[in-house]
Amino acid sequence: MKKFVASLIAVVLVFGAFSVNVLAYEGKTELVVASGSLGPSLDPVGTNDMPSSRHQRQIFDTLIMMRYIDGQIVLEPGLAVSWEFLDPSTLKLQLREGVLFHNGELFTANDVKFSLERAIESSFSRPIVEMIDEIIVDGDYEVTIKTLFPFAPLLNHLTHTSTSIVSAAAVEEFGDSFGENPVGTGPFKYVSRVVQSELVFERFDDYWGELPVLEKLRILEIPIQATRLILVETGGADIAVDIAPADVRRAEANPNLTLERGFTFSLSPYIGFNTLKEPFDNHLVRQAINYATDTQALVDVVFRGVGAPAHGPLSEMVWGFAELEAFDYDVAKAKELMIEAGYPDGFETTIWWNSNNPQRGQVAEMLQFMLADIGITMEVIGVEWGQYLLDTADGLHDMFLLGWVTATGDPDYGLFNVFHSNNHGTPGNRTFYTNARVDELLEAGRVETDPDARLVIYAELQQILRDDAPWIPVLQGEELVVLSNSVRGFELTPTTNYWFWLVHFE
Amino acid sequence: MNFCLYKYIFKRLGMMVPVLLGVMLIIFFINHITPGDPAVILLGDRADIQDVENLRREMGLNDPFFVQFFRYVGNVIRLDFGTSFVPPHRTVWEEISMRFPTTMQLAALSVVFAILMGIPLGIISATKQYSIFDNIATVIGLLGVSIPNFWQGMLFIMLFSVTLGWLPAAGWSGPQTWILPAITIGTSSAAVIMRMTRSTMLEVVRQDYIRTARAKGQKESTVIYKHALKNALIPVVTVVGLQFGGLLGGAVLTETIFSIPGLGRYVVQAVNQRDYPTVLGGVLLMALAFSFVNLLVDILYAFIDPRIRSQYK
Repeated sequence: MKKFVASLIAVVLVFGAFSVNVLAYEGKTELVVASGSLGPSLDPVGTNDMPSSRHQRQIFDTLIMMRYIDGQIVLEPGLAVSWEFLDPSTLKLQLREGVLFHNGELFTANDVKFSLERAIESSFSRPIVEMIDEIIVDGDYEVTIKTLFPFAPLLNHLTHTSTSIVSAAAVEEFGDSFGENPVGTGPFKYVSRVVQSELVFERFDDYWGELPVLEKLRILEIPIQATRLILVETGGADIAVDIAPADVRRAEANPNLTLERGFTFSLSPYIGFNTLKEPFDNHLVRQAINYATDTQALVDVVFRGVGAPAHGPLSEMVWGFAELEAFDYDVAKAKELMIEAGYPDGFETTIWWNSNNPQRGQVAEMLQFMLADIGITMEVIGVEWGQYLLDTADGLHDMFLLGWVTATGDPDYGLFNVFHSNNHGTPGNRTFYTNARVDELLEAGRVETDPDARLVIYAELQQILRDDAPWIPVLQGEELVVLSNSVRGFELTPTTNYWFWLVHFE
Repeated sequence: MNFCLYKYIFKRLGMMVPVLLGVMLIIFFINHITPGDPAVILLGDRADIQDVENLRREMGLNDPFFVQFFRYVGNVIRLDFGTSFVPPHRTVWEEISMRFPTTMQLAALSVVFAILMGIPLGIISATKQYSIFDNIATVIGLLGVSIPNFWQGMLFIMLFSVTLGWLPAAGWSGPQTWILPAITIGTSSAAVIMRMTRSTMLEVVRQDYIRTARAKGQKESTVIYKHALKNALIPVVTVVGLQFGGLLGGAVLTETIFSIPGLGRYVVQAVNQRDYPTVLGGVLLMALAFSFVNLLVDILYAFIDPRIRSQYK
């Protein structure tokens, strides 16, 4: 027995000796990122999940690139060097010359036409490009995009990874398996993938932009949030994304790490009312419930203070966000409104949450207690995600929890689908909210090309939506990224599609 | 081996067919009654209703239950397990064959660990009954069975990866990364095997033939390892075979905790995405592996126990 124990210890020690984690950062050119998922596909139109999009960002370029600098969204030239609206439905773009794809092919306007038409065909990417009517190739490096109607946010849409420019030749060569053989023009090129384990990219030496210092980028799939942090702590990774709120203090306490946090384009969850059903067809009831909801408590308890109470239908990071007066937690005021609305004794109702998201369940349960104060008896019901989407689209619900990410950073994407009366149900308006003025403003906002005029439109819109209260906005999303102290050049971005090629070590 | 044993093996292999059919029917039925539409889940909350409908049709989800079931069985007979619903839409066979070896390797390593720990500790416990060692082993055994393996895994990571820095916290890329997960999964089995070995050994050492062996003046080690252990092993081997199912089940959690790209984690992910073909294929394969291991165990009896072997003559 003694021998056995001794040999066991010996084995552990021997293996232990291999795992010395002292790393020399000087001259280090491999970045290791711990992520919750590798995402199912690297094909920009093959999926619509967040991790896939982040990883596609590393190998593909879009015509226009969105960067977040000093609190401002900046649109930078990507594969397009300049652009101009010929009229509100026609955008002409001048393309970058001499750009090579990872397979050595030359990038031309034909690839743009091919990529965008392909995006329109795919049910994953269609919501981003459905307004595009025609892509006209004017020359090798000139292209004109016509939209079905005047569409001011088009530039923002062309920054979305769904509009990434792919090599037409490579798509034809690989067909359905393009996602496993992705060919773009980005700073990194795809090397290999081990399913559910790691994704390896290496620097593309013929990249058109400034060449990254990094030679290699490895993304590890680490499903447990705490383990992602541990990997950075122990030197197994340099960056960990999507850290758990519970680990914030631990990360802050470690002098070898830096915790980066910043708001995102996400507003999730919000609590929606089915405005077709009594008593939620009455805006006084909706306001009363807003006043009776202590969103700060929800943020502090359920989300452990990560993020902030949201005060309107848009994330603070979205262009055109208007600072609105909050519905402060005020039970007396809520009771007054309930009396005014004709419900002095409250009523019975239900709230649904999607059962694959336990935090939403906790929000619903806390709300249940809060609303009891104004006489509302609320039953909390967890519903399976697929069923949830179908039933909320059919309007079977009373109250519900969902989230919305304004992926393009433009208010049109954040509001049009969610509040226009033509979009009831599946397209996104699951509150079945109907307001002629809101419809009018939403339509005006996407047609108007003058930014100042748009700001006025969206300010009025947000004020109406705040007052009419089809939602209780709950959480302004915040991202948590942990970096090893040797990491330099990392930039947060509200899309969370980080530009890892900017990173170097010191 | 002889003809009778072959016949037995063939009979047992034949019995796997209804087992696997049953597994298929049950999983198919559960998939069918589970709420949630794979097309909706795949396309997300912004999808157009027409796109969802088209995808449903593509996936063949609009056909009646038994049409879908028999089509599936027919395909499985031709070794076609279908195509995953989830991008990049590989065949289930490809997806599984990328992960199954990892899970089997993990299960095998943990069985080896469980046997190497369980049997010697069980023997010592039995031969030194009520000694301090026996008491400690009993307590450890109890802990081993009671501690949930996901928690144990996390403790291991905190101790061996974070505090001591000896072993990596994640991955499956070499012997270093195998140790913690294999021990994590194998611990409860080791405890069960240890307890089983101890009790059967205790029973066996009280038998007349052991007393006879001792009376003949044989060395104590010969008595224990040659006479007693051989006879005590049959129930232990059975338990090892049954534990294997638990190890495959335990792999689901452990693979997640240690970020191992195995079948268990994949199947759970597939369940969440309602990726029916993958769930079916994965569970079917695990059921097959479990049945197969238990068949091996039954064959092993014949080698361990001459009394059973004689039945085949």
